Amino acid sequence: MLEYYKVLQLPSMRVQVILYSQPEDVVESCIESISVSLGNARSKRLIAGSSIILGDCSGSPCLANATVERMKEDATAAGIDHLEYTHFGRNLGFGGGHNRLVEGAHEDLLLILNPDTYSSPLLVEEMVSACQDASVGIVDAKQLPLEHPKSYDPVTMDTSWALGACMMIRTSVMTGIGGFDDKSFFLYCEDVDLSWRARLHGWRVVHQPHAKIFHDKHLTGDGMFVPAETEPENSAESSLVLAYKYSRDDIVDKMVDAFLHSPAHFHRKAVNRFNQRRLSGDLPARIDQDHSVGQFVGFDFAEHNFSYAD
Amino acid sequence: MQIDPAQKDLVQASPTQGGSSRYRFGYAEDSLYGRVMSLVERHLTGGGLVVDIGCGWGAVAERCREIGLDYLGCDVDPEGLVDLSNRGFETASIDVSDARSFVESLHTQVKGRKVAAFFLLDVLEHLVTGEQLLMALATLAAAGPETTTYHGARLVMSVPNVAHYELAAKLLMGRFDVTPSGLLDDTHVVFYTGWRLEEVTRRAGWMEVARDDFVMYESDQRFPPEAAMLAPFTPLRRFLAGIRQTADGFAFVNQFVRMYTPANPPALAAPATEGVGISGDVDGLPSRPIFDKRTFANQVFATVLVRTTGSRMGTLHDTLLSLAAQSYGDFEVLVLCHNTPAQVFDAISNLVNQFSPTFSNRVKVVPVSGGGRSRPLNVGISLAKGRYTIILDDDDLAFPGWMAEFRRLADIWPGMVLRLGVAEQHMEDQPGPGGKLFYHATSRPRCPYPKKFDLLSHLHENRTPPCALAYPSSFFQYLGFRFGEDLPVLEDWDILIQAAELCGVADSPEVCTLYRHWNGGDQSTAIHPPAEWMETRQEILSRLESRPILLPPGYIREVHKLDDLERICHRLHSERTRLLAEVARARQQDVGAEDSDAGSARADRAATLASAVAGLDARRERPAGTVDISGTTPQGLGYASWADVAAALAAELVQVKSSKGWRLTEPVRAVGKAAHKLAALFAPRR
Repeated sequence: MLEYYKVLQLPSMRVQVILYSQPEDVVESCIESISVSLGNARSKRLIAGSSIILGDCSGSPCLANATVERMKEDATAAGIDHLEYTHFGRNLGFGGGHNRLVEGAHEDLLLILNPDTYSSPLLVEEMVSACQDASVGIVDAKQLPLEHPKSYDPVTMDTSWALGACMMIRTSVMTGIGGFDDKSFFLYCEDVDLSWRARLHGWRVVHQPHAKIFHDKHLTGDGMFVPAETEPENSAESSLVLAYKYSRDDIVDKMVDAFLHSPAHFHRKAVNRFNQRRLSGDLPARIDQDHSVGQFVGFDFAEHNFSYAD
Repeated sequence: MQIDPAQKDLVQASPTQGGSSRYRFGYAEDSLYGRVMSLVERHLTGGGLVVDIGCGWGAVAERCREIGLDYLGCDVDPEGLVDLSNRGFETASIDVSDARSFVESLHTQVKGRKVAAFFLLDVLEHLVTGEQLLMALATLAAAGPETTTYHGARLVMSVPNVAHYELAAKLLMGRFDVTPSGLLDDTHVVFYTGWRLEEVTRRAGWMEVARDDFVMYESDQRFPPEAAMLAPFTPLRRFLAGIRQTADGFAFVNQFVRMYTPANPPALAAPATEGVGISGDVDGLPSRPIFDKRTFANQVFATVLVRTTGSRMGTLHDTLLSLAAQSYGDFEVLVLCHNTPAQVFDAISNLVNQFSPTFSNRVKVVPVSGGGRSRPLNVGISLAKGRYTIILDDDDLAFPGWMAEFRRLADIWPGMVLRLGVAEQHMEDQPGPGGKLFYHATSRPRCPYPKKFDLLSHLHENRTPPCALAYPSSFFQYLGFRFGEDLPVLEDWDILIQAAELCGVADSPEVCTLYRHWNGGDQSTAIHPPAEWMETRQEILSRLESRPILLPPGYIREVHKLDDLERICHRLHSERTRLLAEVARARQQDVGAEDSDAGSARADRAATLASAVAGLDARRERPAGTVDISGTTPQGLGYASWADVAAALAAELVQVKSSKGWRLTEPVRAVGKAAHKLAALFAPRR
């Protein structure tokens, strides 16, 4: 057995999902598929116990009590030790929600999962397999049907950052680096930031192309990627904050210039909000002064194999 | 009196008589009876007694004797029996319409002799209780070897085919012309198609072992002979008869000539096939099969055929995952493992079983051996239970709303081929750590395929990947179409144009599936050389040329467009020649001139224009493709679409007109007019 197992024996696993107004059937499909994947990994003696924790940021609960009870029964039948659902009563954001959920986590590995996903039955075992290397802190999965274009080293599988839609992270790494920076990032780029901070602490971030997740995405009739409704505005602001946090004023300037000349209203709005935060001192402390981990390629945070914007 | 052509010569040889004598047919080698006895001679050896049930005048009696079979003729008509007796054959007056009493009487007549076969030659269609009779006979024949009298007796039948093409054609004319004998003999009370005969005999406990159907391209129903549906060389007959023949292969079978062996005693007979119920119960024996429409209402919406050789387990995994993640789940999946080694087959089965039961319970992993690329698809079609059949190869991906969108279209346009938007993405293999192969996308998805289906352009080349299409399963299961197993490639194109022609195509612009294009080629391009693709394409086009084609409404205008385009291309061709000459002259004159840059620019523009014109001229060789120009990409000219080519031509015209280089103006003016016309042609259609 590899080093990882010498230390941890069989790892236990916690799956965390943050909900925000998803239909019940979407959530149930997500939980059913990840339960099967957990069950498969457990039956192959790749993981020990597992739990699924759902945090709901919606104004009113996504899931009815009866649905939660049914999900618990199904999870138990699938060999999951524990399923828990918490309605936060307010929108904590992606990072904030996960930070809240991870408090008190005792499992060895965390799987951060989006609710609009359907897991491969082999997802967990492939991701755990990548974690067998003790130097790996975070692993992300291959998204289907639309692959994320960020590149990775074909030999080491190292990648600039891990996608938050489906990432596995050692709980010790998560807590050790302080979790997601939910004060700086409400939506988007928090996964990039988490990855880069883990790398600053010496952990490797790798892509596992054999671990697959089906993520509900859409294309226009011309084959253009259709972003989520919240994505353009939030990701524009988060990109500015990320560049600022990683001490890249040159990138900040370029982004501001581009956004101000953009025909999209949300770009100018993002710049305004960023400037307001800068004036009010609401921006994060600056790190990575020597640019050892922050990778800005154009406005992307990694080399990309292709661009959805072509 | 109409004369059954099948018996025409025989009837003429034996003058017709009134009453039952109308069935007094003689024996000849090339007649139906010759066909029956040929079957008997080939498959019934060892002698024994033939019981000719409903024997009439016993046309085959002498031939039976000649080949060493004893003959017993049974009928209620005394005239035929007397004749048989006079010819030296044993007869019995037995009413065959009551199965039980017939069996009792048969025991008395047979007297323990070994029965080799029961003959029912053109009898079954006269009996309301025909199926009960078949069951009773099967019970006798299936009895254990201790009852040696009937054990293993064969059943030999000839039965008129009520679905002969010419009867179907008559129905289309609103005619059902009953005649004194022949296909629509006025004494027929039950009508049999190939399917129904198979169903009835199977349910009765008989298994077919041989057949030699009696084919007549000209039946006794061909009247009036000049009717467009009946006359042999009319496009209408060729088209309709082609459809009819494809459906079950029995379009011109006048009488089914079949031999059966006992399979299961009726009491142990397998349940009726899907869609067939039991209409009643007569003396404990089920009556004739009928269809229950409700069976169709309960069908699963679709069957997805996933064709794999097992060489791409990773992408197969992706494909299955995309199916498991569908938002609409009323479908089954057949994973068709083509020539896969046992361990690979096991690995695929194992992969499927690791999915959630809500998905894996809807998946069957099917081994398929032999044949080409079409074989697994045809095997899948034979097993499919869905109302629609969809192909998703083992490297295709479906978006979560793929099946839901098919369903939405089907509700609006039932029975049509359903076609969704499809994106194409370039992929690349890469060896990973430990030699484990992985792959990734190298381009963003693009949608190079026409958003709207166009039959004419598809007659030129395939412009729709299979994963974007759902075929009504009835196209395969009732119209009888199959993927061409003789086609090494392009089988999907071949079936699409046939289905589109007959069913029509309903489009959705929603991009719901991803067709992955492998850099360096996929299996099909690696295995099959370009020449094979070209030859197959020609073969498919030749087949299309050999038969009438059904075009949907609105295509007159498209044909006119073709004609217009042809003329435009001719004109462009001649203008090209002139233009090139002008370009050469312009370059000569610009040498050393003060405005040499401008002259050079003019020459470059003209050269570009000449190139575009040359491209258009080359395009003239692809008449069908020119119709849907807006959806193609003429890479050779460096334009995104033919509409862009036309726009570029128009733009060049504007530039040249505004320049001082009037040397070029005159020839370009002509081209420009053509370009404007071309642009109008390419305007989006409704």
